[in-house]
Amino acid sequence: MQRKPPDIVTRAALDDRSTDIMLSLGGVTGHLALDPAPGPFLRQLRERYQAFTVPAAPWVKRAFSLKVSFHSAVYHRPKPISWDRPIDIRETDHALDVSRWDFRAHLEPRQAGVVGPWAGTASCELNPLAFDSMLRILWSVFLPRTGGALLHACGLRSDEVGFVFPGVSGAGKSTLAAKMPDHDHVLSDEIVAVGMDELGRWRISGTPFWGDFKRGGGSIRSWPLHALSFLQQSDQLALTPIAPGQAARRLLECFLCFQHNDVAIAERNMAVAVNLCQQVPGFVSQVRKDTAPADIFGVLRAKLAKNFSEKDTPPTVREVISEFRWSLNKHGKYAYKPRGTSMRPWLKTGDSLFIETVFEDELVPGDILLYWSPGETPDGDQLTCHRMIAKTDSGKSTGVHVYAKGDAVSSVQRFENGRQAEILGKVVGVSRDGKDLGVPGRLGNLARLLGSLVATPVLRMRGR
Amino acid sequence: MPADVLRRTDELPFQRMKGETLVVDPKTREVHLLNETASRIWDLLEGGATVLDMVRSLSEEYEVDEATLTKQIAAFAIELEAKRLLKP
Repeated sequence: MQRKPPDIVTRAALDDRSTDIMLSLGGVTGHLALDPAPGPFLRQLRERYQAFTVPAAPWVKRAFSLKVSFHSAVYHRPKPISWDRPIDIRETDHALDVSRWDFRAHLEPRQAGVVGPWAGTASCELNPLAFDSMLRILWSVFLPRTGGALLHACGLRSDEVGFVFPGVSGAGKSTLAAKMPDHDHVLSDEIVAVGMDELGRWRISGTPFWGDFKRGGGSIRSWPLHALSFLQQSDQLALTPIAPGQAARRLLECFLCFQHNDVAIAERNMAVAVNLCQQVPGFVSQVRKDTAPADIFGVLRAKLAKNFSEKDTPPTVREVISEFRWSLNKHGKYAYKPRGTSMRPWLKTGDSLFIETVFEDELVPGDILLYWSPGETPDGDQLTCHRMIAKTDSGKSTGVHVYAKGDAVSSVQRFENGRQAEILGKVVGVSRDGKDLGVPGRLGNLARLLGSLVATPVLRMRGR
Repeated sequence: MPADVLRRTDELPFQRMKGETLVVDPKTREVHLLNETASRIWDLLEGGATVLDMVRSLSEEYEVDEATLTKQIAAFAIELEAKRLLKP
């Protein structure tokens, strides 16, 4: 028998786990189920959009669900790219088709078995820029359906309020954002989301879409929108109020809208712009090259005669938890006061818990976890503080499964980390009435406390 | 021109805002803002109107002599046509 000649085949390791990303931008949630792709690529996507994600539980209400597969760049295209109109969007009541040279997506309203009004498939080049562009287009379509919009604008926060500085490329948005002393107060230097809360008040939130493909943004938290300020380069600093009509005309030029010659879309966008400009004051900000954002805020404060420091409450629990996650990830630790009785007697309402971020593989049974359980709607989300009693890695197609339980309850919650719930951290200390109590209970105490059939098979599984 | 019936281009979304009118051309994606007087002319063009019709209506509302009004409305109509807001 002849020997086969030597051969070596090397392939980049595929991340065999399908990745679910549930993104929430401007209050609109979209679910992207990513097919297996090279691990580094998927990791890059997860990291880029992580601040704007919500645990990807199947019951979370979403505007759309999209199954995305990836392909290598195509070098021989069937037809030439039309550079004056590279993006083609066809939107009807029955279908949405989006295509560019590097991705295409098709969605239809409500398919059986899928939560959410629209669902479909997409094929995207294995390129983070292509994926990012596809996301921008999808949100530019779905956000206006809820009365909001994506704007070419710099979004900045001053104390508890937000401001939009609309402008096309070269207007000075990125320059202004770069001058902010606290980078956390930059919601985006390129594209922001605006929308109304339940009381019809306009709010601004950041996006992961930043200039030069920079990574930015910390959470899905929104802020009350206090003014639109159109930047204009000048040799002086001056703020001039403009009428709502003028503001709406300028603002429409900054809408992220890729549809062409669509009367219904034009009407809808105009209605959004008019509504916004009738409620939110508009200004032209003449700024010098050296004008600091604080100077602009000072003039705005004087013109608006409003208190920027009045505490703003996020409109949904989801935004609160997202902001909490950001703070925890930024600082590595956080103090948190839980409520409830499910962890009695060890933890009581009023105790201060000291939470630290933790890697999945560092967790051991007995650890008290803080995890984000999403609800169907943003106000149904919960932060749960329960003890982990077991953890299993059920295979390549899914992530780690965690079993958690409140010490005072008998039911065990099982979730796949990152999907049905997301572990934010673990408790490393407890303080009650000013005294440090240490972390209550470990596995041995846990077995005694449980005293139930649940603990014994769990302990046998772990060989203890 | 004074006797020609002028009509708005079909399917141009527009919205009134405190006396002004915002008009969007979906084809060119241009956004036009009409002041109060221009908005009034835009209203008169709803079912089609000649310059003479508009002069007659507006001369009762504005304290301007008919000759001046005719010249202004005719010039504005030419501008609207150039911006594709009127049918050719």
